[in-house]
Amino acid sequence: MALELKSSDNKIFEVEELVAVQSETIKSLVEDGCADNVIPLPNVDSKTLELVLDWCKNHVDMKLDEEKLKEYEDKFIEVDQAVLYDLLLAANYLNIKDLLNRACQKVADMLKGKTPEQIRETLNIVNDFSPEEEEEIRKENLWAFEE
Amino acid sequence: MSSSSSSSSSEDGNGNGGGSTSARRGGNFEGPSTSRQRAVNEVWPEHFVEALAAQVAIDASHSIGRLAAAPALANVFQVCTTWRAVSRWDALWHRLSRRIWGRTQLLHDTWRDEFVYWHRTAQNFLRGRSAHGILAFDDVDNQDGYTCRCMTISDRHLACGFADGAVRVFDLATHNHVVTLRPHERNRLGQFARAVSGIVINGATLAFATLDGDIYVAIINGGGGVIRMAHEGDVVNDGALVDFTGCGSGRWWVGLYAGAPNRAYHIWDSVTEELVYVNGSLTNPESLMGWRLLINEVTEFVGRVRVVTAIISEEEVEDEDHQLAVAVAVACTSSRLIVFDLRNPDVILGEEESNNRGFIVTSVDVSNDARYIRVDNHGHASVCRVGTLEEVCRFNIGGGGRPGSQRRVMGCMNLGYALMCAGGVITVWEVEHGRRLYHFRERIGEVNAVVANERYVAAAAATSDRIIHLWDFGADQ
Repeated sequence: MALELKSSDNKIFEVEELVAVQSETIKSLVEDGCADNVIPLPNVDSKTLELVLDWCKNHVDMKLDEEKLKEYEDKFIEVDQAVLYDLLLAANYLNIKDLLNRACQKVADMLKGKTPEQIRETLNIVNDFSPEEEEEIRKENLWAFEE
Repeated sequence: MSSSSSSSSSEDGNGNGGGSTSARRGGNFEGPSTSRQRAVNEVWPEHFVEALAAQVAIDASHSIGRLAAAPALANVFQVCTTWRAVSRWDALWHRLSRRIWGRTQLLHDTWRDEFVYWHRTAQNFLRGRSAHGILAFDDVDNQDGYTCRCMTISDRHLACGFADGAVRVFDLATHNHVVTLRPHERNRLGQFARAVSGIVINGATLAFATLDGDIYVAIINGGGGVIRMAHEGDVVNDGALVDFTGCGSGRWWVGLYAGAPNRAYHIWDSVTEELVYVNGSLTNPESLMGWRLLINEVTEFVGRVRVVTAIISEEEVEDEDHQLAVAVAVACTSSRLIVFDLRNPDVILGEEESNNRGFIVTSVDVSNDARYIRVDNHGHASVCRVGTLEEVCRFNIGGGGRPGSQRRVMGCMNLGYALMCAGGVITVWEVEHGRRLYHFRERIGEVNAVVANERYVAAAAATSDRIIHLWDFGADQ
């Protein structure tokens, strides 16, 4: 059975139900009987949705071949950081556990051995602490750096 | 919309479900933007940040060591306010206390406190910071009562077994001698038949076994020293019970015997107290030695057995319920070391031959992260994974000893550290890389028994006059 998903930029994607229900979010909608019409996904653009659906499709196709799947996953997650960020937001919104885990592992690898400032630089995050807060947190975490 | 499945649920009542994302502090979140110019205050989903923080900590503990988890976490928390917020989720600390420090019981107010405590305690072990104390007892009524043969430690108690059959239990917090348990009087074959071979503590209850195979059960606090026989030894058919142990979960008792062929391992279901397995040829070469233990030479150790719970699965699964945890036994004599699954004891998971060197049986121990340690007569120590027998690290304990001679080494291991008592010195190594760290300031001479958990080390000196030495590495001294 096929489902229709609509991205934030109004592109329609037709997918097999088996593929789509890897998203727990979509699975709930199907189970609740709300999936007869087009399912709108206002938080995911078409470019990201295409990638996500490719992930889901391959996970159905390669379900039995662990090695092939791992190879696919490793290649899939080699994306630039902006795409990675969009992917993880989409995976979070759509609740796709294995994609979230893989994205999490990828980001964790990127953060290895980095200081807070280096992490901010890598991920384009702004330091929104006030000087007082910064001092507070530093004290809060002193125990972790004690000899 | 169901909540995010990336991590355990949060408890701080943050209003968002996991499915949608929203800014915590002002600003509008517009969803992943199609242009590559990014909004300045882009926000990461909190459940994702929690999973990320956990992953960073676990990766650091695997690649560098457990003590590297905390600073890695601290770096994550200091990135921005959203990331800092995750540090207040006690569920995150619970998960990490379990994964990194193996803690499932909350001993402190919060899981964050728990994590910080065990981190600091491990740091104390690394630096050799401890408080030395004495546990004293005065109810010895015969010469054999001075020789401690074995010790077992739990979070709350230390139990010591002596050559005259006495088991003395101490409260670790107060250092008080809580109770002395003695095996029933009955006709026994040999002067040392009632010597204690091993002790198992399971919460409030204790089980101990004598060299001739009796197993007794008692309640530690408020039991008044009353014991109940759970199993009567049968020395004629089984030989001597040379070591007795149990696993952390308390499900199984395992006895190692020497003296009767092909009856090396006995396994009991500790709940029903039913003997469920008897087999094993490990100690066939040691039969004669086993018998001699009953008559004399109580200071010899023929074999050792330890049990640990190992996770037998290729990957680390997030959902702990789906991890396959099995109780695995490590049994050792001077010539062989064998690892087997308690559910299926006929299948040997792995084995090691000592060849010409000979294993020092009293150096063998296991740690809760499913590793074992053993030292051979050349002083070579090897720490291996229980499941695969893959070596994690190796080191040499040094000291003299002619090749071929039996060295007297008492060893034990906890999560991260190994202690070896030889030649009157207690030395500590970290067991990620096998680095020698320091030796104890206190010189207590030759050691009859030693035991360690993640907070305490206890040792009975051969010359001890009714005392047990206790070192407390706990962070709240």
